[in-house]
Amino acid sequence: MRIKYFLLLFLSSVLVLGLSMPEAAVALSVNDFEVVVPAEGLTEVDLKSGVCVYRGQPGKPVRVSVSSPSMQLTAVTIIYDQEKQLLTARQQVKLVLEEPGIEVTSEQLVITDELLELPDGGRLISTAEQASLVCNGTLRYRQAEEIVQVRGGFTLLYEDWNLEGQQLDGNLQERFFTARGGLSFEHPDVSGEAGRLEYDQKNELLTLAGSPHLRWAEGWLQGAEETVIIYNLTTRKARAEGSTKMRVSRETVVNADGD
Amino acid sequence: MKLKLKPVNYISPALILAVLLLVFFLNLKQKSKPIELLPLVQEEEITAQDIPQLKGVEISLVDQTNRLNWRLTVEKMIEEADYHRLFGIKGTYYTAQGEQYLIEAPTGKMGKDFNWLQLEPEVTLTGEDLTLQADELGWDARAGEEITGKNLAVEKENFTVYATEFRFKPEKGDLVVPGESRWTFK
Repeated sequence: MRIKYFLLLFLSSVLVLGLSMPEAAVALSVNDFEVVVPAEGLTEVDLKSGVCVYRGQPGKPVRVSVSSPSMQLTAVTIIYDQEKQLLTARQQVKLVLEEPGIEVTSEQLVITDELLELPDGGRLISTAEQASLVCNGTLRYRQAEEIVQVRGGFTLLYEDWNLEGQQLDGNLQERFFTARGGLSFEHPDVSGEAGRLEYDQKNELLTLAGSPHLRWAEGWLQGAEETVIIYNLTTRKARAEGSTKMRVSRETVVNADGD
Repeated sequence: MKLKLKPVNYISPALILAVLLLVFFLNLKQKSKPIELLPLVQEEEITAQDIPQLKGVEISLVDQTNRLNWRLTVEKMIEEADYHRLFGIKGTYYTAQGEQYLIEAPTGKMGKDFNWLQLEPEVTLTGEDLTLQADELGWDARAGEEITGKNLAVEKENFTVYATEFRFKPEKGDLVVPGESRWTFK
């Protein structure tokens, strides 16, 4: 079914974006970087507390460069607290990771030894995979647990695919992703809604729950609130638990097991 | 027949002979040197060694509250028209809370009113946790506790910085760098 391809491609983009963020956080938590303030800028440093405030101008940002891995952070204002190992970037923030080709834009970015956060939302673009993640609320990555959290709304774009929702959680270590909160997904060939979407990469299982609704050219599949649709990416078979309604066109063959 | 010579006959040749001898001796006498004109103005060449200068000078500079800011030892101090020129400067800068920064510079200038100080080049200011080097470092009693300068290089435990100009307040540990600068963290 085409749904399989949609789900595989969509989740691969989540993985690409999610897996790329830890590298950025690890690199920026390493205390080995250079800050360049432009000629139009100003720097104020408290040598006793170790707080450095670097100010540029719109269009003439402050630049932070990390050599390994290669990445650049630019912003109008960058504040670095050496004692707390806390870096805050504000206004016209742009983070570019040359490998694996990720670009992050936001109005605020916070990096510590423990986490990387976009407190006011932002956009993550994977130039290599043609995928993007737009966060309306907060994006947070916790390095120790390898957990990605998005709250307050998101839009995930990958090629022709589009997924919108309120929350996104990813456990990179466990390879488990959950999206919830008024989910809607759309592709030229298939679209739908669900209350919750789970992807278990270890077991190659995809789960739609919370009144899942799938639509394609040949028909549609509607589940109740308690209905769970489980799709096995290995066997390419789907199973619906709970009451469902389905309508298909005459050309579509429905097997006895519901596939 | 005896000739009787009249006295005139004796005197004339004797006189002539005396005159001849006188002329002869006058020619032998060394000619005197011409008398030079006395100069109206006496010119003297003044060398650098003649410029008033002091060696091994100890200088104390205070701010407008009469608090000691600088205590310097200068190898040589020369008085110029508008300032004192200093050579071989070493000393200490004191903050209000008693922190000390060691200062060292090859040359400098100091106001005759002891209200300003300018050191250059290769000035070194050393504190407990940092070493600050600059091509130029200045202090003015009227500016309060603020040290200014140009072409700054700072080495601290975890970072280095290079900047074209700066303002440093040692008491608070505030460093302000206007314009372009480069900071390296390790």
